[in-house]
This record gives sequence, structure tokens and C-alpha cells, in this order.
Amino acid sequence: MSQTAGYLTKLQIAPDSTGSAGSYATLANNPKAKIDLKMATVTTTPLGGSGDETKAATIQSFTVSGDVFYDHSDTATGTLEGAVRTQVWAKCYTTATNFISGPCLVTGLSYSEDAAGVSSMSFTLESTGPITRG
Amino acid sequence: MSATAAYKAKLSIAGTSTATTGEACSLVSGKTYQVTSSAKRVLDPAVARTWKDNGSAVSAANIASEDLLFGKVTFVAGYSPTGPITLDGSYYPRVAVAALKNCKADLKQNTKDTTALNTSGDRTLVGVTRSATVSASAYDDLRTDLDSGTSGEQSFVSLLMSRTPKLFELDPTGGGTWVIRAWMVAEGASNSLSADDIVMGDISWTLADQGSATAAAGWEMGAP
Repeated sequence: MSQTAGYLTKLQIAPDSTGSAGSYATLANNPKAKIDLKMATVTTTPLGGSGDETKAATIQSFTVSGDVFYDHSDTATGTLEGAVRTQVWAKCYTTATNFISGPCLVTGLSYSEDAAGVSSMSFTLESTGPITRG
Repeated sequence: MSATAAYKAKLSIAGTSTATTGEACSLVSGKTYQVTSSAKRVLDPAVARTWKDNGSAVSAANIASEDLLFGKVTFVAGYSPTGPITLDGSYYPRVAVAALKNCKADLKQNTKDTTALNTSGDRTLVGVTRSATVSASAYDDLRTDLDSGTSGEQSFVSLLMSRTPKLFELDPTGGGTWVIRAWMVAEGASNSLSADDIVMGDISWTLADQGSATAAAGWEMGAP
């Protein structure tokens, strides 16, 4: 395993195009993001067993959250802002080539303004459909 | 593309409702028209609107929808406008709120899980309700009159105590190119008092009751 400098990663957003990803655009001014890939589990620890807890994997999902220095003219930012009750597609590169992608709902946009700072927007995306690992 | 210093951001609230007659509208696309003057696009939900086509009122049956936050009307598919389209109604000018140290607008889309049997095992969601909150800190005791055009104290404190919904508009970059608007009602107004500091005020607002005759529903964003 080799390490990857964070600046080499990227987050891409595409609008939905009749159920498929439209054209991906890299989210600009994005200093950090977090991708949480989760597998929900159900406890199946049986009676009469060894006493060790056992679990079965059920539903998988991912959440993407992050911040941008706000610029509405950025294509990907505009796609996030325009996705009201519609889905977008997120492609999260964790190295220059490895990615996790899938359709998402934009579940949160938060605009923060501080007179001593820079206009910022944080976002949260929740997956809603098949997850692709590339 | 670059970051924008946040001191340029602008939070505004609705001023005094102002009547307008024969207000010019422009075609957006399809059957949707918008009030041409960006200063007059926030429409007063409490005042009846008459959309006119070439001087004659368009019947309610021919109006598919209105966007009161951005001054738009969409006619039904079967209606063919002659033009020009005009509006008789009232609009709210916006008044910038001064002395803010910071502000934050949180917009949320609530979801319901729709993951089904006989699928790939990937979670699916459907968006349901939306919510919004605005919070801000001010170099102010929150008793400053925000709208000198309306009689009586129109401060953050008086608006909270009167339960008056108010239109909020956030321009995140102050550039007048993209804004977020919502009718909101106050949830809190608090003062911090310290002998070695100036008086600070913190406000928090949430989406107003959508059943109110004086509020339009939800939050929207777009070009002002």
C-alpha cells in the first residue's frame, strides 16, 4: 500500500440524466470531503452458540459530506444547488484512479458567512441506488 | 473560479409591502413568465395577484402555478399567451440587515428509506419534506428597527414577540447573482452581555407555518 497526498483526490458531481449520470464535473474550491461507505448489519447471535456476537450484512449505502469555498458559478456546485427533490451522481476519488460512485440525494446544504472569513457551503449527499467501485 | 471573502455576503429581510400595477413580466421559458424587475420579484402572498395577458386578467383555471419567492407564473399547457404579460399585486423590497458578524443558512431535505426486497441490496431514498433554519450573530441588541418604512418597531425582538413571519434572503457572495429565499419565523433572540465586550445578539429563525396567509411555502434559490 502506498500513501496518496490528499490534494490528488477529487469529488465529482453529475446531474441526473433520465436515471443515469450526466456529465461529471469536478467540485471546485473543495478543501475537504469525507466518504462513509456503510454496510448495515443485523445481529444474529444464536442461543446455544459460543457466545460470540454474530452479524449478517444487509443493505449498503454511502454518505458524502464536505465543504467548498462557495462559488455558484462552479458547475458542480450549481448541480448540487439545483438538485431539489431530484438526484445527482457523486464520484468520489480516493486516489488518482480509485473511486466510489452512485446516485445520491442532496440532503443538506449549509451556507456559512463570517465577516472575517470566506463564504463557505457545506453539503451532505446520501446514496440512493447501486454503488459502483472503480 | 475563486473563493469570495464572506464580508461581501448579504442577509436581507422583506421591507414594506408595495403595491404595483401593470408590472412588466418577461418570458423565462415555455409557459413561465417572471416579473422583469428583480427588485419586485418577491410577491406578497397576502395580497391577491392578477396576472394579465394583453390587459385582460388570466383566469385561475389557466394558471398552473406561481412562484411567489421569485415572481413567476406558469400557465397551463393549453393556454397560449398573447402578451404582454403583466402583474397587478404587491411586492416586498428587500432591506439589508446591518451589523451582522456572521450568519448561517441550513437547508435540509428529509428522506424516507425505500429499500425494497428483490433488489441489489443498495439503499434507496425518496425525498419528502424540506426544512430550513437561519442563524446569525450581530453587533446589536436586536432592538434596532430593521424597516423604517413600516410603522412601529420592526426589530428582531419585536418580530419574535409578534410571531410575524418575515422573508429572508441570503446572497452568499453579495454579487447579486444567486440568492436563497424563504419565509421564516423567529425561534430565538438572545443577548450576550459582558463588561469587557460589546453587546452581541444571536437570532435563529425557521421556516414559517405554510398554512399562514402571510407566508409562501418553503425555501427556494435562484437568480434574484
